[in-house]
Amino acid sequence: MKKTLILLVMALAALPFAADAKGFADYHTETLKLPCTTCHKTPDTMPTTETCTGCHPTDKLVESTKNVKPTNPHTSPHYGAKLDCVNCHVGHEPSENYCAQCHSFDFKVP
Amino acid sequence: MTSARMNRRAALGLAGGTALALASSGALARGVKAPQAWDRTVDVLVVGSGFAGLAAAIEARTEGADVLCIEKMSIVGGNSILSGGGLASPGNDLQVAAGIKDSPELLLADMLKSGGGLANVECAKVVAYGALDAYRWAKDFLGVKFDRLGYQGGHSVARSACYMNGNGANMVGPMAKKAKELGVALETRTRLVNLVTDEKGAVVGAELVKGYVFPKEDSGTRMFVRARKGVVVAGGGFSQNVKLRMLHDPRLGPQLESTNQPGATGDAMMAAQRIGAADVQMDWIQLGPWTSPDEKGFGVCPKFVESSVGYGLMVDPKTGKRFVNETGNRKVRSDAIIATGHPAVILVSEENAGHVPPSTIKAGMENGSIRRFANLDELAKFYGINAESLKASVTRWNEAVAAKKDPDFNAKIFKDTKENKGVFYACRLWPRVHYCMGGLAINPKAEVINTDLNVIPGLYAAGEVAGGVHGMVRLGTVSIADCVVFGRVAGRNAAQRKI
Repeated sequence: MKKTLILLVMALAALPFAADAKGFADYHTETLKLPCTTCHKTPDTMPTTETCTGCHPTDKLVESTKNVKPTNPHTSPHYGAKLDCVNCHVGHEPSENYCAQCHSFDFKVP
Repeated sequence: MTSARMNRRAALGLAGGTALALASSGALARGVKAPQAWDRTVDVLVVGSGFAGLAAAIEARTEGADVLCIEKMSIVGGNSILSGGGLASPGNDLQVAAGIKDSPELLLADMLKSGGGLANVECAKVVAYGALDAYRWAKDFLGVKFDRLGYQGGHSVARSACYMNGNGANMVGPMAKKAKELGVALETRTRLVNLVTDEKGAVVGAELVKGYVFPKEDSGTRMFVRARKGVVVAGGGFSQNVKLRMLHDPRLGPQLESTNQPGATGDAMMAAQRIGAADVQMDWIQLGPWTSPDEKGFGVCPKFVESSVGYGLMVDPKTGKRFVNETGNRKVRSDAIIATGHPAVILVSEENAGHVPPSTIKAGMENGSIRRFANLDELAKFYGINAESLKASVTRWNEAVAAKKDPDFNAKIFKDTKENKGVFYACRLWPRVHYCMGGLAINPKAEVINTDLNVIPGLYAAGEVAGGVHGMVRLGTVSIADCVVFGRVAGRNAAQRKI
C-alpha cells in the first residue's frame, strides 16, 4: 500500500497536464480509473483535506514540487503547507491558481 | 477646496446613513429569532480569525469564557496573515534602543490629523493609549518576534514595530497557536449567516453554516449557536465587495482591483446591520496609491514606491509633468492618480534607490513591474512620455532637491536626497482598494451602537469591521494596533458581561 501511494505521488508529479483539463475528479476517475468512493466515502460525503492527504501526504507533495518556478506551490511564507487542497484543486470544476489572486505566479495547476 | 470637498463628503455620508437607518429600522429588521433548540452553546462567539478576532478569542478565553472562533475561509488569518507591516506602538523597546522619543499623545495627534478631524476621538484614544500594551502582549505573552523599527507615511516618528520579515504569518501563527493552547475552539469553513436576537433586541447567538466553501452560497449545513455572553464581530472590511463599495463610493467599480484576500466582502458587518447596527463613514474607502497594474494584488511595487517618494518623482505620462505631492497621504495620492484616468509613472535614479530593499527591485524586475533604464530617453520611450517634458520635470525636481524645497507641491525632500541622473528605476502605478475606514459604529468598549444610538447588548465589533476609529485616512500600521487593542477590549468585555 505504501509503495502504491509513493508510486501514485511520483506519477502525479511527473505527468504533464493539459491546460483544458475538465477537473481534477475527471483525471482521477477517467485516467486513473479510481472509483468515486476514493474521495467520496459515501455518495453524500464531501471530501476533506484529509481525504486528499490520505493518498498524497503533504510532506511528499512539498518535496515533489520543490523545483517548480518561481516558488514551491505547496508551501508559502503565508500559510506554510496548511492551505486546503481545494483552494486550487477543485474536484468537479476547472482548477484554480489561488496564488494568482495576488502574485504573478504562472503555475500550471493540473 | 478641501473644505468644500469635506462638506460634500459629509453630506454624502449623512444621506447614506439616513437611507440605511430607514432600511434597518425596527419594523424592517431581519433579525433571526432563537430556535427551539440550540445546536451548540458557548459563552463567547468570535466571528473572524484575523488579528482582531484572534485577539478577542484569546482575551475572552483568558477571562474564563468558553470561546468559539469561526472563520468562513478554509484557513485562519484573513488579511492579517497577508499583511506586510507591523504594530504602531509609541514607546516600544525598538524606539528606546534607537533613541526615539514618542508618546501615545503624539500617536493620537498623528491619527487625528490624518483622520481629517473625522475620527471618533474616544475610540482613537483607546488605540493610541493601548498600543504599547498591545505590543508587549504580542511580544511577551504570545511570543511574537519583531525585528525592525519602521517609518510609515503620516507618522511624526518611526514607531512601527515590524513583525519578523514583515510577514503577517509571523504574528497570526503565534496567535492561533496560543488560542488553541488556551482551549479556544478555532473552526474554519464556518460562516456567519445571521445574528440571533431576543425579544429585547439583545444578541443571544448566531445562525452559522458549517462546512462552507467560499464563495458558494449554498454550500454547507445550517446550525444555531447560542452565545451566552456575547458575539464579537471581527470579520474585516469589504474591499473585495464591488457592489457594496460602489454603493458608498461610485468611483470604486470593477476597474479597480483590491489588495485584499477574496473573503473580504463584509458579510459579518451586513449581518449586524440587518439587526439594526448603525454604520459610520462607509464612504471613506482607502485606496493604496502604490500598487502597479503590472502585477497582481499588493505586489512588490508598494515597497519600491514608499522607499522612493521624497527621492524620485511621479509624473503623468500623458504630460510628463508631476501632478501631486508624492509624500502626501494615501488619499491625496490615489485621488490624484485616478483623476488623470490612467496609470502614473514613478521614477528614481539608481543612486537615490539605495533605500529600496534589493530583494524588492529584484522581484519587481523579475515580474516586470519595475524597470531599469540607462537614461531618461529610454524611460520616456518605454512609457510613451514626451522626452523633453520629462527631462524638464526631472530638472525642476532636481532644483527643488538642491534647495531642499518643493515649490510646486511641497513634497518632503529628505536630507540625503541627491540629484536624479544617470540610470533610473521606474514603475507604473494604479491604485487598488485597500482598506475600509468605515464600518459598524462602536463605543470605546467595542460595543456596537444601533440606529437609535443605543448599545446593542451582547454585540461587539473590533478591527476593520468597525468604523470611526481612523476618520478619513488610516495611518500605516495603526490598523494592526487597532485590531489587537480593540480585539482584546471586545473579548474582555464580552467575557465579563453580566447577564
